Amino acid sequence: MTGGKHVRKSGVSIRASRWARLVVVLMSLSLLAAACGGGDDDDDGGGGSDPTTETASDPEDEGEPVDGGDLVYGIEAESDGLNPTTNRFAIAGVEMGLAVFDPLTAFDEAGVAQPYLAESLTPNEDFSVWTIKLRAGIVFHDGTPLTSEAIKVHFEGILADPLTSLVPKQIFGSANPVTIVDDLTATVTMAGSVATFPAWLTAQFGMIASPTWIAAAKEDAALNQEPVGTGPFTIDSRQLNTQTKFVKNPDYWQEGLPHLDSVTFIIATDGQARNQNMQAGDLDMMHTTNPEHLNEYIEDDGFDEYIDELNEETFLMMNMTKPPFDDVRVRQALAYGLDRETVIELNDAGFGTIANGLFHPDNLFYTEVDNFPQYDPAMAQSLIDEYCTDVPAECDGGKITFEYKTTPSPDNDLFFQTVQELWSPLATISKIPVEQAAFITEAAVGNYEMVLYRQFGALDPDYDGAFIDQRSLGAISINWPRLDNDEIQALLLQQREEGDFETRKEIWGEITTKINEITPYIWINHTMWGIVAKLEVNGVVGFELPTGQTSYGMNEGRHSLANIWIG
Amino acid sequence: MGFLLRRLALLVPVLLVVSFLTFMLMTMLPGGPEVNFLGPQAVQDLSICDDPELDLNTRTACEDTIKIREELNLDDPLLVRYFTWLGNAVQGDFGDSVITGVPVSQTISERLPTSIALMLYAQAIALLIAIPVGIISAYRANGVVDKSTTGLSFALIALPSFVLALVLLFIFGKKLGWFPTRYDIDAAFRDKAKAMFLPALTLGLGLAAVYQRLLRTDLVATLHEDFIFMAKAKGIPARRILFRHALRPSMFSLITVVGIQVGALIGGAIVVEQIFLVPGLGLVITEGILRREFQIVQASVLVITFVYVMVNFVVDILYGFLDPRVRHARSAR
Repeated sequence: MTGGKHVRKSGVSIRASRWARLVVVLMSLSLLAAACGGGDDDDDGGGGSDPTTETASDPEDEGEPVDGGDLVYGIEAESDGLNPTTNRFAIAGVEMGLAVFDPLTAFDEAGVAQPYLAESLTPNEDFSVWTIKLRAGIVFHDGTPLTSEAIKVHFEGILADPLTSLVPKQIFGSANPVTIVDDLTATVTMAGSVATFPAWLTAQFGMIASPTWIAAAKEDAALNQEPVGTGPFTIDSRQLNTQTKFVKNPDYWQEGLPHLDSVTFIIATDGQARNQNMQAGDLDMMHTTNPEHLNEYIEDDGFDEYIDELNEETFLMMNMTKPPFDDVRVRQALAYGLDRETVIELNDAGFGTIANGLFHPDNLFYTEVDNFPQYDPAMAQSLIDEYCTDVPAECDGGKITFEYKTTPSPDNDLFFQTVQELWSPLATISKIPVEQAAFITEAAVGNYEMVLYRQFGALDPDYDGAFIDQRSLGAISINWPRLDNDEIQALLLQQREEGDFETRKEIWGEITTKINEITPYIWINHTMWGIVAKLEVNGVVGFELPTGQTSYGMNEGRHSLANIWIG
Repeated sequence: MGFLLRRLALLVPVLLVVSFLTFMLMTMLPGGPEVNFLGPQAVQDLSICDDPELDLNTRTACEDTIKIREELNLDDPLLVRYFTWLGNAVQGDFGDSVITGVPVSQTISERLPTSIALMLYAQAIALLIAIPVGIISAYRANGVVDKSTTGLSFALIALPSFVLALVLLFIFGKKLGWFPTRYDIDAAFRDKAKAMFLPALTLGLGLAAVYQRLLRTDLVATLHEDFIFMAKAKGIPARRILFRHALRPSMFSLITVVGIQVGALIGGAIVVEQIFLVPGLGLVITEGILRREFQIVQASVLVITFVYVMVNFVVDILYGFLDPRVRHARSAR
């Protein structure tokens, strides 16, 4: 399964939106066939099935790549720095990181993590130790040779940082899990069986930086803005919250790549303005999660769109340790009481697919789960009435009362007004604005009752398992809703140890069912991530990986830059 | 000369008072630099760290928070911290951002020239519009032009800047393609000037509305003074009366407000900066406030205060130029 739809407009007479859906269906069917193929998982980390010879529908022939050109790329946010061991990479940060770093693995179109900067990743019998072998002859931009020492410095650096370690420390046995075997080989010891380890290495967590640079950046934090990797581009200039420019690495280890002379990332946080920049031709590519804008571009022949709706979810999240959300009746009542079609109609102009669980129906890990509460105002009211009879202290005039925290933005304000109105028979809600910098902090320390959130976009859901893991519960926790369920915990660990994709898929179906029963999340829709590009921008998806497979399309706005060309 | 020295001498106490007040207010805000440095790991109430039953996560968070507080001297008394900061500031060292590691002086030196350019551009546009329109409105008070410009001025004053920005961006940037829709820091000077026109126009139109109203009001009052009637009686042409006799004494309110707007434009044009991607100081200050980055806010406030005082110093000089009686009164002291 590729990352969703790739829509090209060059002379195609079919309406673009129908073409896009056709492509999605064809891609999904072919990749479902690939997933069912089974096979030997020893070298692919157990994260899925073997690559298949039945490839997905190829993007329209783009012709032969042409060298040269400067790409101007509008992204939605800045990153505090570009050091994968200490800085917080959001999607925008990962995309900039992919310019200057190579990850150890990369997803192929079947959703299997294939070696990328690594030559191979080999597990032991029970997946508790992984041996990473690097490719020979690769040099960092500062001249430091790529050796296994870089792997050691990388992982230990991540685990030593209080922020970047939050998610990955779930899978490591210690703070020093790496043992060097030889110049190019290292072993990594896990905390138990982790068959999915390669899938963790496709983004920030697998981006290997120069150990020389990492050591220097420890002494001078300003160097976090001047990243040094092995990637297709090197840093040229960076003005925070304005733009970051990368130029071609002439000594890149993948011969013939990159094609572009430079990539300049423009930080354009205002979605409307970014959209205007794109339409006026002042950007060559841009990120967007606005379904209405995406639909306009689909209808417009002058652009290409790459859309991923298959991975991340948008949902309302409730803190299960705070009343009234410590009672499942309240959580379910609000789920029953929310007309999500109306929510999407009012907030996303009707574009978007209602979510009923962790996975989009076209996602490889999807199994049909039908136990999420569907709109039923009578049921909602009866649950609230029952709760208010039992716990009158948490109710006022027969309605529950709670706080809704949100970052101040026009879109978020509209969303709040929508849910406030739809829930008016059930609840009295007070809105508490929280600025963005503090928003995640509030969630992490449990200082909230309800928030609107986005999560679960990892191609392999094991990575997102950290956010529902019991072991991360505490005063500060990335298990944001404080989900504490032994059954889910056991299933989580079981799927991590499991090498067979079909078995893992089944387990995730059980996890989703259980989560829906407990209802810490009120699913809204599958987040629509989009990249819009000028027609002359090619090579965004569907290129060949070093291992020979075709790359995954685009996941949550993330994609390789090495193969892009303008012509 | 004595006047100049006295005004310059005022600069120091003003800077001290403003910087101390800012320092104190930032300290009083909930959440401190350790929150920004450590993110969700930062412990805001350290009393929980004494609990022997603490889980590993929280214990690590406590240790990290205590370490950061020691490194940043957050447990020192307010005055000690302030004077340490001041001592470094006078040497041009405003510290480094705790989040990005970039020296604050570097961030400000990158952004300040752009903010000043945008401010000057906006002021120029505003004055180029406001002065002639104000003169015409005052000269033909209550006429068609006056009433039209009055209505338009109120509309511009009421219109939020982000709405105006998006409308200008849409019409002149996207639809007509006359101007770039974003500011490119790597472009040549001419292209930068062109790219800065729409953001400057957005700011300038709002200012022009205010300036035009001020000038019109003062000019109408001046035109009813006895010396104007005398000038008319002497047969002096209307144009000469307007520009030679009436305009100068009517400019006091205008130049006062222009001076006040300087500081507001340098640090407060965040909406315009964000929409047009102009890398000014406004965004930096706002981010600094939201993230509790004391160093950035302190340094920015200091810079803006300095500019404010210097600009108002120039405004005072201009008063003397506009009205010789003011100049002579100063000399007589």
